[in-house]
Amino acid sequence: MITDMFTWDIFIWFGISAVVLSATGAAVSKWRIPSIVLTMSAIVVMATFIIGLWAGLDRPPLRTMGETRLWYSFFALVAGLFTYVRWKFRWILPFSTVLATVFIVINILKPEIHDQTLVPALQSPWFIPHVIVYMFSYSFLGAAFLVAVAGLWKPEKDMMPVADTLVYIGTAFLTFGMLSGSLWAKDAWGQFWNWDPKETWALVTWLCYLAYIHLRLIGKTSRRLLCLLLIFSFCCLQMCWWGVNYLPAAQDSVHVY
Amino acid sequence: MVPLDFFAFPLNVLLTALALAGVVWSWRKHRNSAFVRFMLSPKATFLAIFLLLAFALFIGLTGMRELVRSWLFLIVMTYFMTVLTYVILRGYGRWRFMLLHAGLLLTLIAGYVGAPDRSEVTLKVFEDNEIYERDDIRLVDFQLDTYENGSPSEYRALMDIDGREVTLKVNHPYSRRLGEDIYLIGYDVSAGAESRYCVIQIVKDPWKYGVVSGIVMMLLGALLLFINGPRRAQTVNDN
Repeated sequence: MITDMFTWDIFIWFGISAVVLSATGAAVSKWRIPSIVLTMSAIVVMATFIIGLWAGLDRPPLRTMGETRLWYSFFALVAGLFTYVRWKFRWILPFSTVLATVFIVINILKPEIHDQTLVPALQSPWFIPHVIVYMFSYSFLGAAFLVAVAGLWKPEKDMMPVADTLVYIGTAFLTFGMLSGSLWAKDAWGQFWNWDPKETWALVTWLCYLAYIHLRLIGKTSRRLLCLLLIFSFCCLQMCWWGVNYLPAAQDSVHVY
Repeated sequence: MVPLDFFAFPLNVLLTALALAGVVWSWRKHRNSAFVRFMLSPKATFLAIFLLLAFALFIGLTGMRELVRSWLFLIVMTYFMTVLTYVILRGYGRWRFMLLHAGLLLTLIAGYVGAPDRSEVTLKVFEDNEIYERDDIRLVDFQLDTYENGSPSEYRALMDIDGREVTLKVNHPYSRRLGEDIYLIGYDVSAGAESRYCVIQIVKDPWKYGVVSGIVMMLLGALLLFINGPRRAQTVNDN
């Protein structure tokens, strides 16, 4: 069957094509249509591999860290293209390309291929929306992080309205992810919230972005502080995503896969 | 540590009702008092978010999750919910704002204030009832499917609960009655498919409907957050 082709062994070809297409798209960002077409092609290449892997595995590729990185690089390209199309920011494309490339390269070098099994607790209709929504959110908040770094770099330019939109989208999906997780937890373990390390860090991340949104509504905070807050928030997000796996206090987490 | 049994129904409901009444009363009668003005100030909001953030960060770094049963956390949560209630009274009428804030308040009240009324009992239920004598819950048959490598893919417990035939699976609890669910949480792993018992958990949580309603409200609010984005970001000062 054609879907049996789609394993991590051939990912290198998809990964390299996506990086080359996206990098070319970033290089020609002066010309809108070619740039959009090239970045779109990179997204389609990633999507093809994801769909193929999904069919080949007989389960959604959402379980291992390698698989979530796959989605992240896909959505990083989507978030980059979105920012480019909506605000015409040319600089976002090279950055989102770099972001996606980092995760593609990690996956080529260290895909962490696990067996095809899915433990019973993960067999739930919540599984797919929960993880995809989080990866989508992370990529938009990753774009907001890049905007914040750019904001510290060039303080004379007001990038906060862009950061606001990215943070609103990211936080909306962060909320979907967290709440779908808590509804799922009720079904699986009988409790909405258990202060599991991953849950706790998800709450920390969520509160950081809530703090940002509320600070912006008042509108009295300096841009520098806001950028620093976005950078700190993104660090908490990384802690939640993969940092907890290395945290001594989190070794009994039910979320360590 | 906060004595959970002490704050169980009816005291938790009584105290919450009193607190809510106090907030509404002070909002109506003493809106210009220093206290109400502070609770509605941006400072109070940031302090609420910051305190909860600091608490979660501390638990996240140390793993000391037992702290959520401490008096300190009770004070932080009380303060957080009080500020939230004042803000809701003032912001009443705006859809997105109300769904997000009232949804959060409802979730917190049902989840945190209702926590003392939640109970769970873990039971080992044997086939033929040989050890555990109980006639309302019996294990009829236990089934286990495995992957090729031998790890479990799915397990099911065919049970007789209150005279009804029920199949329990992970992620598929049985709703026994209002606010009471039965979960399958384990079996004799060393015996695998030959396991002669299963482990179930009977969870009584009458507040879960409040939590789910609050969560649904917040999900709708988040949807509006996504659709409408940051509107009038710099001009709104009362949020």
